[in-house]
Amino acid sequence: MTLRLCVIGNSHIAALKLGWDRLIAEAVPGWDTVEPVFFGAPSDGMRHVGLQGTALVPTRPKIAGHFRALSGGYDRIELSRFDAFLLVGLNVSSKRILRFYKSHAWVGLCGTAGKTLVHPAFATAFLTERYGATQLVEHARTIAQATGKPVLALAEPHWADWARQAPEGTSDYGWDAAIRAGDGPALGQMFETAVAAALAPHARFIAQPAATVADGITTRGTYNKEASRLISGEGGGTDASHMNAEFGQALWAALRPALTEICPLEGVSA
Amino acid sequence: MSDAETTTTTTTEAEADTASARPAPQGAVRLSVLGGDPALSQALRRGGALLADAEPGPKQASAALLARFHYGLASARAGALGDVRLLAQLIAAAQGEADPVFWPQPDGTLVDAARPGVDPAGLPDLASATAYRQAHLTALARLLAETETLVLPLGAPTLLTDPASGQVFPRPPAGIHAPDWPEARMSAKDLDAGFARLAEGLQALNPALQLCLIVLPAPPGARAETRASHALLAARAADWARGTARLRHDPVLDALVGRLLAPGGEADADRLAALVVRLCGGADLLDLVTGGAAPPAAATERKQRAKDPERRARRKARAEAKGKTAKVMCEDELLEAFSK
Repeated sequence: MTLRLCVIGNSHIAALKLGWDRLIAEAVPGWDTVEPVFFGAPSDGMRHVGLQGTALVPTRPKIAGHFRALSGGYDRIELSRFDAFLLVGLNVSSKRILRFYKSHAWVGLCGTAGKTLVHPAFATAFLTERYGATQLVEHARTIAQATGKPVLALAEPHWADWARQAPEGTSDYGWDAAIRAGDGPALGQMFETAVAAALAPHARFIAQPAATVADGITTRGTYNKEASRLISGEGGGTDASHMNAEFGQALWAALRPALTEICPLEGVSA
Repeated sequence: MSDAETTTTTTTEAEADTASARPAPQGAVRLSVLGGDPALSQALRRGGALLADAEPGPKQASAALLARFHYGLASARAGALGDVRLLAQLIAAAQGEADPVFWPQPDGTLVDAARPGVDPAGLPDLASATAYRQAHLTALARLLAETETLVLPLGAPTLLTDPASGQVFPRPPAGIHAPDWPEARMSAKDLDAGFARLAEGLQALNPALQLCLIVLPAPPGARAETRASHALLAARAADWARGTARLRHDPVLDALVGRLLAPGGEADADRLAALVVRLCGGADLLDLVTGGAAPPAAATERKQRAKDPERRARRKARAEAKGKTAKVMCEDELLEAFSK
């Protein structure tokens, strides 16, 4: 039996694609029964895609062009063609929680000095509300309501751990301050809790594999290395946000139990 | 990646976090309000008052969520208050002169007895609950030290008395477990003693503070006892105002607020709210009769902010800083991966 998997995301599906290529090249058992088709658009381009009848259709030619390039020729997502959906990134990242942490902290965290202290229940509710307004959740809602089929979701990876040092030209969202305060794991846990809650009615959240996470809110540098090297010229070596094929492979491994629940994958244990 | 979207949000939050107090538009009235009906705070804002907020919630939160956790309902998240004895205890606590009281709940959490309805759940341990209360009191003390005019809406809320300490506490909402304490009495003597402690505490925190007492009307259909308590309170408030410097209580203002908060709404609510704001700010009623209430200052504030050269400079600096940061090459990443 084949699982026809529709993968929809922004630039972060690149790591999944690279990881997928490796799985196939290495003939890892079981994965030949999965048939992923990738659709996506960089940045927040997926906001120009809406439900028309039984398909997700780009409203801008450029986005349709991205769909064709990524999927092998399809300029729309005909939902009935797929058994399950995997949403990737789509503006859900731990940066949002770090921004909140710059001005607010909830009881139980260490880095509270100079911040408005809030009840943990408020922090959870607020962040769930904020993540609920992202494209990831909106697309999950649309697809789940239109198809009733399983929807899985991955967030954007935490930025690579070297971003902590914030070299010249790299955005600083406050990783170092949070980690030095000892709040990294709690922030990472809150991120997973809030995103899972925001997605809960529509999709199942698959958290970033623990082996790839450093200090709760960053990604181990090794998973960013190749991705950074791929980008040459201006901006080369400063991209801490995208991950490489190894990371993609780790994601597929993390997805495996959920995919197996949807459709038993031969030779793959859940 | 969504850098464009996230950068915008960051900027907004950073502004909110770091911006100093906005310059007040000409004629704006700065007020702080402790407790009372949230509708009163809303009306004061609508009437053009710049209402202080000691514990602001994140700007991106929905109004419903903020209200559920009592953000923005008054100038501090202290609950409805409404009784001079409760207020006196709160001020004493803000001065570090009172130990916190927490009510243990069946699930093992602790609820702040001084404001049991403010958060929908307790906190897991004494250290958390104490830290959370202390943060609230610190914010409150800062607010009071910086406040020019403090509005205290008063009523006759049901309070519980701790027989051991004599302290009073608000009756908790349904679902919160409280000790089986008796309801507090409300006599002129109790009120006078409570007011004396309150006035003394406020004087110590901020000697220049102007106080404006508003005695809220008894709720429609209230029992005779409750109506009598409101009448007693109004009489005591009038006495306090006669004998205390920098304290105002005006039955006309009470009546106007009552009309503003009456069920069914007020046809000319904006004008009435503007009038209430001016009176809270210390304007004389006779001056307002001839001049009429000033238009809400909030309407003109946005334009002034847009023209503010400092804000312009900050916007420009942010735009330049953004240009210096490396672009995350989302499109390159995506196309590179799929070119193989």
